[in-house]
Amino acid sequence: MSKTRILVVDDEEYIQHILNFSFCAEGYDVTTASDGDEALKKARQERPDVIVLDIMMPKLDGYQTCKKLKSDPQTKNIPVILLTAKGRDVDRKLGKEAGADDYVVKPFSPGRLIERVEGLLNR
Amino acid sequence: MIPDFVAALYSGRGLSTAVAVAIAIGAFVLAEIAFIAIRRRLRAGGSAGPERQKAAQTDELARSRANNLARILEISNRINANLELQPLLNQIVEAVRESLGFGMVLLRILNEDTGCFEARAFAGLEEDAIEKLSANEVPLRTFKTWMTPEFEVSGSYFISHEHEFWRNMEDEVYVPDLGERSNGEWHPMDSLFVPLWTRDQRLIGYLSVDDPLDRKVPGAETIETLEIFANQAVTAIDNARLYGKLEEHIIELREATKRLKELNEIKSNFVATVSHELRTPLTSIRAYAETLSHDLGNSPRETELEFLKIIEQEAQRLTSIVDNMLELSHLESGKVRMTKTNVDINQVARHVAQILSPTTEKKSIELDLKLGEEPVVIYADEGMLQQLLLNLINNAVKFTPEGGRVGAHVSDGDSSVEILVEDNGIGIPQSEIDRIFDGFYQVDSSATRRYGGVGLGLAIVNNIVEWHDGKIWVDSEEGSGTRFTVNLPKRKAVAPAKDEIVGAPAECETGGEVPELIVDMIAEVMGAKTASLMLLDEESEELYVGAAMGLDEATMKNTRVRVGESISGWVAKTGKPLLIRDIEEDSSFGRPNRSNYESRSLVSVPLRSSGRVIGVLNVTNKISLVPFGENDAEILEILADRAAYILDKLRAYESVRGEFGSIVNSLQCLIDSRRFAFTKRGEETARLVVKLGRSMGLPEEDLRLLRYVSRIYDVGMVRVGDEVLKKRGELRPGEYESIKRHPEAGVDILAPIEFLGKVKDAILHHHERFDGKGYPGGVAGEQIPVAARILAVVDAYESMVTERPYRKAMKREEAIDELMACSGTQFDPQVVEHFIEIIGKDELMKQDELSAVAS
Repeated sequence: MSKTRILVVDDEEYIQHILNFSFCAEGYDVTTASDGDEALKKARQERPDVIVLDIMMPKLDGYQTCKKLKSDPQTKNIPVILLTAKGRDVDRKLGKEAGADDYVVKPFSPGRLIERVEGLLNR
Repeated sequence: MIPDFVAALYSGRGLSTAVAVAIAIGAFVLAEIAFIAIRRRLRAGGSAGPERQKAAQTDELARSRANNLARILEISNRINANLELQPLLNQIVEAVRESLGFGMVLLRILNEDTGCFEARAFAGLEEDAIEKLSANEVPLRTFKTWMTPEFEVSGSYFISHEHEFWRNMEDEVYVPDLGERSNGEWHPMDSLFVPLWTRDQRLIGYLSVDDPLDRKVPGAETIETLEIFANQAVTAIDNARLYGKLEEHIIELREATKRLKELNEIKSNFVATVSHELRTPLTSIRAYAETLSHDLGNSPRETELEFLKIIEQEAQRLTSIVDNMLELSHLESGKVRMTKTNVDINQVARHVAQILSPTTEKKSIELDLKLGEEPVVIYADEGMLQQLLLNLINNAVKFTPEGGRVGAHVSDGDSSVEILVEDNGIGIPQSEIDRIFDGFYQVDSSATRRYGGVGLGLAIVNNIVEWHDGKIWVDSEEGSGTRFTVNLPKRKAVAPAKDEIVGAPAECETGGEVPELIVDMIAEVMGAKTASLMLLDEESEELYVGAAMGLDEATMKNTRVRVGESISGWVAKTGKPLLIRDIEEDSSFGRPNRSNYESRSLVSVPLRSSGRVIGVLNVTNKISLVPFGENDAEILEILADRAAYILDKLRAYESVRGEFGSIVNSLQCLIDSRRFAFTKRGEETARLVVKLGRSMGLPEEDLRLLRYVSRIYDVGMVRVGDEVLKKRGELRPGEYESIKRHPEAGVDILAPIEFLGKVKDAILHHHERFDGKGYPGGVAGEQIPVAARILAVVDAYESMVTERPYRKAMKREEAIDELMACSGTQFDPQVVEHFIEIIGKDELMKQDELSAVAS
């Protein structure tokens, strides 16, 4: 069985690093991106099984990136989990509108994030 | 149209129909008509004239009454629909002329400032008559001599030419040319006027008529109708005044609400961005810590160490965010006690370079310090300067890639020092450049986060520059580097007490530094961002900048304003003060560029010496961003008196040494005292003091002084040492004594520039107690000047509700309880009573404003 492939998108170097570490430890094949444009490019190229996407990013933010992913036939079926630094209802709503499949609030627990990703993949 | 409609309706029926229409239209008119009807009935009972039976005459009379009524109604409607006074007054006099058949009508209004009646509306008068009447204002006192019971008819006054009343006053009256008049006819020297009384019996003007077209002396009927028109004028004038006042209040409230809304928005944005900023390092800390604890022992030791290091770094980042936030909020709150000394910037720069050397070495960045051999000394707060350089250089290092170069350059000028910090780093996008100093607005920039910044550093730098009356600007090109330039004005240190001034600097001997200190003092007392003293060059009739704070040298050198031109020129020409609350909302000025440094709110007042205008004082933009108001204009006028007084003294005593020293010392102390008098609290104290004074019925002149005194009364505190002021624990007896001496010190400090006894008395006694146990005089009760009794209460209250290094702020209710507990012993019970009342009202208003914002 081939490894599950995940794309991790976050502009914070340390957070990218720890997500990479955690998912690798769980046996995932991890690709990283630091902004929305890079994320779109890599999603099309690599066709990952799941995407973890930060919201607060320069240029293209997480919502915009998510919308683009969900409107592109090549990537629209890839489940997306949003990482949000805000835990407000309005963000939940925006996330839903952008077509995200789930979200996790920062500061998050890596263990819990992995559970959520697995939950999405088993759906 | 209503007037025609009323007349037509009436012609066939009785007066009652017209009255009914009037009732339907306005209660105001109704009252007037009821009034006529009652009078008429009274008179009818007394004199049963046979001519009343003449039907034709009655019909004619009724028709003219209906016409008058129509005019009155028309005016009454206009009063309700139109609040502009002048067209209404014109209409009223025109209506009197047409409806009542007078050739000439004049309406005068009392100007309360001058105490004279000014001609405001005319009907049937020739141009030259209007000119004469306008030029001739009637003093209230004179007018009152005309209103003798002898001449009284109904509510009006008729002075017949037969009385020869005007014989000796021909200069004061206007005698129209009415041609030949026979006996019994209206005579050119006859006069008839109606005083305009408000409902609360204030005299606000009068209406006078001349040249009745029927050549008859008007009868009671006409006079009564005339009085109704007069009443219309009263209503119009009253309405216009009320509306004017209302409009002022509305503008004030609207501004306050707008500002509150803005503040609220800033606060919400701040909370959102700050919580985001705090969450980012927290996310790392939590994620790494959790991974470490789950995985402990499974990962290679290097990975574990790496994780621990990241946790440590992110914790450090969190700390520095919190520190910076506190630092910035401290600087912005205005609660900063600056400790200024003579500082060598070169030395500070070297120290900062040392602090940063680990960082620069790590990134292999070359820090190039270009400092001269000679020390560059400025009078400034050393701690703040260090922070300024640290933030600027640290910032440059952060945004410069490894192996880059950061330069810091200090250069000495005549009156200012320039600090330059440049790098060849990533630069700042043009779109962001305006916002980089905004702090809370822009913390949410991922770029700063990526480079490990907090985004508050530049906001802190900007604040420090402001505290030193300096300027900062930035040149940057994306991708090639950034250069920050800071310009700080140099200030010479002045010895703290006058007897210590030995061998004052040479320029002090000519008083050269005094104008600079005057503008500094004025800016400080007014809480203004810039202040300038413009002096009149009598030969060229131009104003030039004598001294300024917050203006660059080129502007100072090149500015020359012709008398009569632009704002200062206008003030110099007219000798009148000018207040512009918000230049963008003032239509009389074109919109200048919208840079951050433009003057939005300003006050400009003339500087007078023995009655002549010798210059102009300007202040622009309050540090607190609130626009200037009438109060500020008043205080600036008082300060202008002091400034002129000092300039006069300087001219007169040019040869006397020591005089300058004491003046310079006075000004410097006043500046320093304001710097640590917690500026925002100072404004609140001033506001409450004046409100309290007004509530206690003090005359306007005393309120003016109170307003001024409340801004400077604690100047004596500068003689109390920092170690005492900042002390947290109990004060030793000696330390307490030094605090107790501050009212006397204040009077002593102000002596060289303050010439009003009332001001000195209020300052000297503001720590007296009502029971006589206070200091320094131990005077009791009403012997304490009322201004000092008021200051004592407000000062105590404000200090209780303000946080201090040694204790927390008290709640409003607790502070009020404390005031009440000390009422009669420490405080004047009457003052306390008034104070509690105004504080209560204040609170209600604040709640109203808040709920206005919330909705």
